[in-house]
Amino acid sequence: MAQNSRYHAESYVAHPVVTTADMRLLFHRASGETHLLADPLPDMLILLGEQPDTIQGLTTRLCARLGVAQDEEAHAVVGHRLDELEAAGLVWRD
Amino acid sequence: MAERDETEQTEVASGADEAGNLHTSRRNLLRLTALGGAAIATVRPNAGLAQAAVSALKCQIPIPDSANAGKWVKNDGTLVKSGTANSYAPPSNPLKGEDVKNSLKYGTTYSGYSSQQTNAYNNYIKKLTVGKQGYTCYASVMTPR
Amino acid sequence: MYRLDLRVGPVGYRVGSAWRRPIDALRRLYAGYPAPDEGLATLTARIEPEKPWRRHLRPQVAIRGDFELPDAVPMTLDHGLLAIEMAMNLQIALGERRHLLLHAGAVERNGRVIILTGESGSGKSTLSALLGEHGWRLLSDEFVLIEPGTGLVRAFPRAISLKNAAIAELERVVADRDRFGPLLRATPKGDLRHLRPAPDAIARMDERAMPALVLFPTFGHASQAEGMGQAELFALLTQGSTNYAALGERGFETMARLATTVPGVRFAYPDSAGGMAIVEQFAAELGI
Repeated sequence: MAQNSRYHAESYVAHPVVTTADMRLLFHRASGETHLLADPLPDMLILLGEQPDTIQGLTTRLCARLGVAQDEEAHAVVGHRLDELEAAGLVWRD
Repeated sequence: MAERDETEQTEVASGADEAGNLHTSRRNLLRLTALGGAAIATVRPNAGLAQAAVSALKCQIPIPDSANAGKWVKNDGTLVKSGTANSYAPPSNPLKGEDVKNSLKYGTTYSGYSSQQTNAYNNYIKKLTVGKQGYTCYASVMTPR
Repeated sequence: MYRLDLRVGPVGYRVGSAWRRPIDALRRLYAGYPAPDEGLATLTARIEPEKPWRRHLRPQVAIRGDFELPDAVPMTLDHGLLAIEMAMNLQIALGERRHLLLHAGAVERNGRVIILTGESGSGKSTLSALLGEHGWRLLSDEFVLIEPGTGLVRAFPRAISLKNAAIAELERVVADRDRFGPLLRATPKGDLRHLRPAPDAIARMDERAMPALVLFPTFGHASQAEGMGQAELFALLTQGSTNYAALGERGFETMARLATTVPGVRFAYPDSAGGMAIVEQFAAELGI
């Protein structure tokens, strides 16, 4: 994770997504790959797709969206989840 | 843009999953305990057979490769940040081996794309090396059978 | 080059062989199958000498066609029929683009389909074949074709590959000996014998039907069953598809629709009779 870089994602509505009981199935057109996403990854992709952000900025918006308190722990988890999304090619940094 | 307005492009979940597990409560999603498992899995198609296949007719070249997803393609085939001036968005689907062969040998453009886009994509393809996604397909379309 | 053209469900094959005997055996095995329709796109499957001088002297059989695997070990001419069947499998596994392929068997009754999928050795082919002799129409023992757009299953009733113990099991229940191919000993897959599907499977090969249940059988354990979540079903089905990735977005839509509209169940079974009884039980619960 990189604290001061901004993370980017394509607009979420550009991807075909199917919701199942436990996960979202997402087809990534740019790569042709299919990903299975557990919460809160879809929320993170929606927020970054609307507006690129740093880890801090994304954590703030995500906590507000989920209705949970924002703290160090939340920030750390968001950082880890961004690493996973970056490895999968769904977000990238500038 | 409405924050919770996803339902227009997702199907409604069918309720509790069959094993009867409760959904992770929203509260715990951002706790360190949630990091016990990966939250994303990528479908890895039947690797053995599919990747062994090399055929000028049917193979495909994704542009760009998955590691560079989201990047755009400059005229000279290098990858740049999306939206950079003088670069083009990548094709929405991988290019078919047969179409690539025809374009490289006879100058045809890819269906739905301009000649400038086609040229950028071809320069990207010509830069592929062993190990990069699409290299095997590219090599096979250029080698006489 | 000796030739045979035939149609299996929506797939046309142009089969070629440098030797006469395997094509004759193929013709007998596929007796009663139609020829490809005019204009139907066909897959080309061929067996040829590995090297030109391997045609007559200690013949080595190589599998060729629209798709080829460069490092495959050549086979002996005694197993020529098996080599042709493997060539036909290779061409559809890598060449089919109109339908989503599942590595699975499938049987139909009253317009509804039970799909049996899983790893090699799970017994899905044998169970499918046995059900096909006990009141079910066999759609396929190895490749299930799903039509994008409708989600319906197309039948693809190729000759069934029976291996080792399964050979005797089917010999016990199939009276018509003409339906069996030659016994091939010591092939790369063990002892093997091909079986032509029952007459109704061939006569009705163009009837599509609705998937109703996906089963994951495991052979050789006490009977038990458990349901699975939709995301897991999706992941397992994509692993067992040779052309999921090649179909791109259409593949995604087709597979997601299947995984979210049809239940997936794992079950273990001790023997064939036990396996068939469990399948009948599920069918009864679903009103099939």
